[in-house]
This record gives sequence, structure tokens and C-alpha cells, in this order.
Amino acid sequence: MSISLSLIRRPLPCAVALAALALFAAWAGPAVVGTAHAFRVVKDVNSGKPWQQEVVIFEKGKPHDHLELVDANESAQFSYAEDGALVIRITGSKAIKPTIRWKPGGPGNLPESFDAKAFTAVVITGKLTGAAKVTHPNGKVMDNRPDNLWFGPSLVNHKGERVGYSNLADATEDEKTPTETTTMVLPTMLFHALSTNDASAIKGILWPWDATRANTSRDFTLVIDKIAFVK
Amino acid sequence: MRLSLSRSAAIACFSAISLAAGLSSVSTATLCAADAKAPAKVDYAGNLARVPATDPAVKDAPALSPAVVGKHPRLLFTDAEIEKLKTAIASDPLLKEASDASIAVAKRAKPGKERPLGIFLNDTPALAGSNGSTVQLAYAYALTKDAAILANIKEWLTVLLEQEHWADTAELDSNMGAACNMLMAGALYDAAYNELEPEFRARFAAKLLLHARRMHYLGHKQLSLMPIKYWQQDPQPNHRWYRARGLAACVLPIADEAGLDTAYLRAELKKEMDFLIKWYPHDGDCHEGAGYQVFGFRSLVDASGMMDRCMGTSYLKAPGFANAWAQQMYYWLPGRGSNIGFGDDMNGSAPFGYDEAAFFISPAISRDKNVQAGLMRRYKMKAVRKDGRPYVPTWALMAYYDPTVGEGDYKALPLHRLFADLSAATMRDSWETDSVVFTFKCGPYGGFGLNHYRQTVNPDGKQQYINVAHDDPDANSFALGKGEHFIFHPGFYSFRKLTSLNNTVIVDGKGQKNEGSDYTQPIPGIDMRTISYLTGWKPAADKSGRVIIEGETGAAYINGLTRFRRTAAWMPSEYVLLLDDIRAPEPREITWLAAAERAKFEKPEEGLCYAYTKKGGRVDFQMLATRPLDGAIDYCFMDGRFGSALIHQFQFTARSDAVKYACLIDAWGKKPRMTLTEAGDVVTLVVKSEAFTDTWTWTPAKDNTTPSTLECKRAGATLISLTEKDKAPLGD
Repeated sequence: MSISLSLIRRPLPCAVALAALALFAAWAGPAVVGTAHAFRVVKDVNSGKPWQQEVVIFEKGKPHDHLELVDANESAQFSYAEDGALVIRITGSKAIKPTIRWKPGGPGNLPESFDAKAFTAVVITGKLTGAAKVTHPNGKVMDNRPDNLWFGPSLVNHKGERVGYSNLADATEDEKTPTETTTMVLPTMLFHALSTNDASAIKGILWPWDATRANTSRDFTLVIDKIAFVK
Repeated sequence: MRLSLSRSAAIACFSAISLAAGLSSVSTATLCAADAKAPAKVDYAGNLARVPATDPAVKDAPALSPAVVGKHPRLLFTDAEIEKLKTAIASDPLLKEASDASIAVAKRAKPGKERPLGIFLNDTPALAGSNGSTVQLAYAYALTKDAAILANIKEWLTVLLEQEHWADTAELDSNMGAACNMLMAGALYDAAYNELEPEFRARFAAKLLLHARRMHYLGHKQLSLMPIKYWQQDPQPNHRWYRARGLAACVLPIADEAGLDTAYLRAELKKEMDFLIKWYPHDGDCHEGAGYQVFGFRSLVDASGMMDRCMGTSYLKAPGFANAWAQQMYYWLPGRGSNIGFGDDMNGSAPFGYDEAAFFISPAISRDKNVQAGLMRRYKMKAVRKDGRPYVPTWALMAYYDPTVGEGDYKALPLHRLFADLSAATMRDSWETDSVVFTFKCGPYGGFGLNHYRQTVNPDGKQQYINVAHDDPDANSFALGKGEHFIFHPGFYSFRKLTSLNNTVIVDGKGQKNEGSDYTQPIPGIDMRTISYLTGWKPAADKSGRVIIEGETGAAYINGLTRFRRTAAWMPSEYVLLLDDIRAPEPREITWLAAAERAKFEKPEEGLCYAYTKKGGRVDFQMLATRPLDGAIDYCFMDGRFGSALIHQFQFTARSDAVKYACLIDAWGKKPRMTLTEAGDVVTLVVKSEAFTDTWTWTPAKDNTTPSTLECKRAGATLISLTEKDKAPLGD
């Protein structure tokens, strides 16, 4: 219950003021400090409380028949690991854009599409192992793996358009792309804040990576245990 | 979470074209997409056909000063000035280091072998090369007369002579890169004039005239085929200052050259410089922020210095040059090594660069030893590289730093400063690395002077277009820095200029008029000075350093407010009080915003919260209001052209037609607590700590231009008060 202070902004008969104060006392909202209000918490992304999972796209060990894994060329091959994790094997130099789409239903009772802005974050549990192989002019081949690989998912809307982008390293505490299984919280704001494409009907998750330089070949494995949209 | 450059580079499609989105019916996005596919084709013949074969005859064109007729060098310096510089170098270790480094660079500074050089194809290499580096050969040669440096100068001049276009771009020979190349060309020609072969010299003089004419007609006269005229419409874009300097650099060295008629260009150059200086703010401020002030200031200093030296003008006596240092110093957060600025200030921490050296011209003009000491201290703090590489003093110190001024005491610089043109101020508790810095701004896009120009320059009363592309919808915003931390974040150089990315309020989810674009445009039909302005300004009469500042910007909101009065009381070493009186014609959802690296609610029932950083910074605050508030901590994607940050944002929302917020910021850890009582329209705040009990009486303003009445009493004595008479100046 809320109450407006507009009544007591004007000079009031004492009885009315007392009645108003009594109402405040009964009110379960923010405390009154003097005749002022503090606040009640309606949202806190830094509360430390567990996220409320609203939409689970994929979870290791759960049925995945509702998923449609598309656009994987020979440089990005989908598979499932023995333990049920979703795996994208990334090799070679070509641009890739493996995409995870879904049909309504599945174990999480997925809707056909949803509004990205209605959620606070995309939570991904997974890791990216491997490195890029770089052939130097002297013929030596060396592994190259910067801490921040600039690789992360985008969202795909109902028109097939890409909505924003993210980066796995942005969502880790040490700001490195994780090589060990890590739960990463990517705020949906990252996707819709700068995208002009419609974020109101998300129908897929895209993992885009541009082509490499000619002397570079990727040899990475992305292992995903879980993808969920949370509030 | 700090996002690195790559994301921003991916986001950014920055071209000069996009700066003028408001002048074009084509969207910036479209232009950028087109640029990405294929460079714009240059219509060479079509552009050059617009440059007339001859210039109009001019009677009584301004002439060179008799003292420089027939003499070189005279553009950036004279022989006499070089002798003074030599004396200064001999006695000043910093100048000695800068000159030694510059001479060493100049001896190996040959043009690259590729053709055409990048400086002719793109602004960025011309800015860094021609403007930032190669021009130093002029100084190095004048100081040494070294044969190797002269040979390099001749090589550069030969490349320039052989290059048909000094900007081979859609804005043919009249873009910023062309202006930088013109500076280099004029400076090197002038420095080596006496050693050039007469035939080569004559050919090069004609080349300078050719490019001066192209710049003038295609650029200043707006005859270029490129349809967007983004820098010619007002006197303050740094783009225009670069062109003025380029034009001066080409015209002045050849003004007495036999066989070349420069009378018309001299007259037009003088007219252009008169115009720029007339409208140069007395504060020397930059409405685009302290970052862009660095980018533009040097070119105006150079152009003015060239004119004063060669034509006997006194442009450098314009008050803005002596005052320009202040925006750099007062928006400086020493502990972080960065600005805490507004607008398109990236608020980064790059080492001290050649453009920054130009601010030493302020004490060189004013002879203010304390300013010199402040700038020198800042220089020393910035003269480091984070990666451990040695820092080499910039050559540009030789051009602007005058050691004969001497160094006073930086601690004697006042701890607050009002920027009346911007309707902004900053306050700090010291100049040390642990200082607390508070900034407040409530100005119109462009500042007061530029809007005066907009409203008055056209005889028919029609509003003139002004370039406010780098301004934010940030009226009544604040920021707070402490030590190395941004506590309440000032933002970055954003490509989505939203009020919600500033520490102010939004109404029904929307911000101030014309928010949301990548480059802000002026608000049509509105005198912007009437919707965002300071109302009150009151520094305490004693030496306490206390200040009250107040701004009004209700009318700036898309979802119009009848009042948004923000009053800030700066109580150094104790607390900062931020008071908002917000009114609307009907109930609205009013959300108070403050971005912080990390945000935390501590005791919502008492309004207690704190902002903190991962590196250990923390400032507590208390939020109270006269209406029920919903409190939220949400993510805030602070996007930036050169790096973004995913941080938090405090959001306090009231649903009402009138609400007053009181925010008590405990910047010094004194643990004050506040109570708020409203009686009628008068609010009483009691701020209590172990050391003090302050009673604030806050009476709302009687109208939207008069200051509120605010008085603070401690132990029966008035500490500071704002009265109706304490009106802030509107403009400088």
C-alpha cells in the first residue's frame, strides 16, 4: 500500500495530520524519516540473491529435441558431449555464425519468442578451450590465445536480424575468456542498448566470429552447460 | 566491468560526415553503411571547377606587419623568438629534454616511401603526423640549422609539391587533414625559406597559394560538392579552427612574395579570425568537454599567434586564451590521472600530448605563477606511460611553455570555479591525488555564448545552425570523483546521447529534448538558454570553501516538467547535499539517476546506500524524498567511442506531480545522517554527525529564474546561505 504525501504538504488540521501519521505507521513500505520517505527496493542486480530463471534455452542433461542447431559450416560444428553438454567445435579460418534456435515447448516450456528487454540477463554456463594457430613468416606455428578473445553470443530476432553482441570475457570476474566451466551473466542491456534492430521477439542465439587472417587457423571448443534468460 | 576498445571500434562508424547528421536528410547510419562498402568517389573536376580562376580585387587588404616583411621565419616564430627559446632551453631542464628529443626525431623524420602518403588520404594520420609530429621540424631546424634536418624538410616539401591534393577525399582539399597538411607545409616552408632554391621556393609558394585558395573556396565559402557543411555554420567547432590555422599557415608566409596576389585571401583570413575571436568564450571553455577542448585549442592558439606575429593583430589578448587552462585543471581528477568531464570527453588517462602543451599559453599570457605551477604539476603527473615505456617530453612545450613565468604554488589555486558560459562548476577539497571532486552542470547545448550567436546572428531573427554534436542531454547532472575512483560516473564519449546515461532525472522513461542521437542537434524553435541555466551561485564569503550552486531545467524535458530545480551544497570535508524540487503538470514517473561502478543498498528503510568500485573506493549516501520512492539498482551500459563500461545505476522513482529529493553524500566518511521534514512547501533537513548538527531550511523558488532560499545553520550561526539575490551569471 502506498500513500501520497500531497495531503500533508499543505497546512492541515491536527487531527487529519495525526490520522495521516497513523496511516504511515501502518504502511509496510519504506520508513518515514522525519516526514520524508526512504525507499522500497523494487530491483537490485547486485543483491547477491539467486537469479530467477524465467526461460531456459538449454540445460545439460535435459532433453534438447526442441533445439534447432543451424548455420554450422565446416568451421563450426555442433554436437553433444557424452555428459550432455552442447559443443561447438570451431576450426579453420572462415567466418562462422552457428545459431541456436528453438521450437516452442521443450523442458522449459519455451515460448516461440520473447522480449529481451523483459529480462535482466542471459546466463551462460560454459567454457571455451583451445587457441588460434598462427603460422609466422619463418614457418613456425604458435598458439595464440589473448585473455580477451572478443567472442560471445548475439541474439537473433524474428526477422533473422542480429540484435547486439556481447563478449564472454566481459562477464567474468577476471575479464578473461574462461577456459574452465564458468557461469557468466551477460546483461540483456548489452544486446539491446546499442542495437537498432527489434529486440522484442528473440528467436535464437547466434555465435558469430569473423574470418581470421590468412595465417591464422582457429582450434577452439565451446562447451555450453546451460543457457537461460533470467530476471 | 570495463569493456575494451574493440567493442567500441566495432560500434563506431565515425566519419567527419556523421558529425553533421542534422544537416542532412540522410541518416548517419546510412552514410556509415555506405562508407563501409566503398569509399565515396571524389569528383575532382567538379570540385575544382568551383574554385574561381582569380580572386576579387580588394582595396586596403590587411598587410603584413612592417617588422616581418621580407623576413623569415615569421609564422610560428621569428629569429628573435628562437634566440629567446635557446636561452630558455639552456636554463630549463624540461625544455632541454624536449628540444633534444625533438632534434633527434627531426634528424630522422623522413617521409615514408609509399605514395600517396596516408596524410593525404585520411584525417587521422594527418592529425598525428603533419599536425602532431612533422611540424616540429620547423622548431628543430630553427634551433640547430642542422643540415640533416634541412634535408628532411626539403624532402617533405618535395612530397607536398608533388602531391596534387592535400586531402584526396570527398571534402577535397578542405577537410581537417588538409588543414593539418597546410600547417606542416607553411611551417616547414617558412622555417627553411632562406635555404630553399629560389626556383623551388617560388614553386612551393605558388603551391601554398593554390591550397589556400582551395581551402577558402571549397571550405570556408562552402563550395565543395560534399553536401554537408558541418563546420562552417558557427564559430566554435574545432574543425573550423583547424581550417583557420591551415589557411593562415599558407597565406602568411607568402603574403609578400613577388608575383603572388594574396590580398583577397589576407582580407578573408582576417575576417575569419575576427569572427572566431569575437565569439571565443571569455572562459576559454569548450562546450564539448575538456577532452575536445584539448583537441581544438592548440589550432586556435596557433592561428592567433601567427596572425599576431605577422599581421599585428592582438588575438591572443582575448580573455579566453588566458582562461582556457581552467577547464583542463578543474575537470581533472589527479588520483585517477583523468578528466571527470562532460559531453564527449572520454575521461581517459592518456599521457601528456602535444595538443595539451598549448594550455601553457594561458600562464604565458597572464603571467600567473600559480596557474603555471598547477599546469606543471599536472604535466608531471601525466608524463608517464602506464606500460612502463619511458615518456619523452613533447616538442610542443617549446612552442607554448614559458619558463620565465616561474612557478608559484598550485595549492593556492582556488578550489572551485564557475564556468558561466557553460553554466557549470566544479568543486574540490584539494589538488592532491586523494582529492574529492564534484562537478555540476546545467547549461544549454553549446553554452551561452554559442546560443547567443544562434539567436542573434541572423538579421531576420531566424535561428542559425550551431554544431552541438558532442554535447550531452545532461542538464542538472553531477559527478563525483574521489582519489582514483569515479564514484558517481561522469560518462564517456557516447554514441547514444541519452539523459539516462547522466546523473540527473528522467520523466516517464524519457530525458531531455533531442536526446538519443549519436551526435546531438540543436532544438529547433527554442532558445536553448531558456530551458537549461543556472539560477544560483554562492561561494561562502569566508575561507571555508563552501559553495551552493543551483540550476533549472524543467522545460528541457520531453515529457515537460514545470520545474526541475537542483541545488547542490558543497560542504568540503563534511558532506555534499543534493536537493531536487521537481514538479509536473500532472502525475509523472520521475526517476532520479546516479551511475556508479558498483551500487549497493544498505538500509533501504533509512535511505542508506553506497557506491563503490572494485579497487576499493566507496562513498555512502542517504536518499530521502517527500513522496514514496521505489529504489532500483540496474545495469548501466556506459558506452564510449574508445571503450565502454558495464556498470550499475541507482534509480529512485516517485510517481507524483511534485516531489522533492534530498541526497546526502558522505564523501569524507563522516557518517552524517539526515532527517527531512516538510511543512507546507518548506523543507527542513537536519544533518547530524558526531562532529556537527546542521539545520538546513529549504524554501522553493518563487519562479523558474529566481534562486531558491536555502540556509544552513550550525550552533545558531549561519554557515552558508543562498538567497534570491544570489543569482548565477548567465553566460560569461
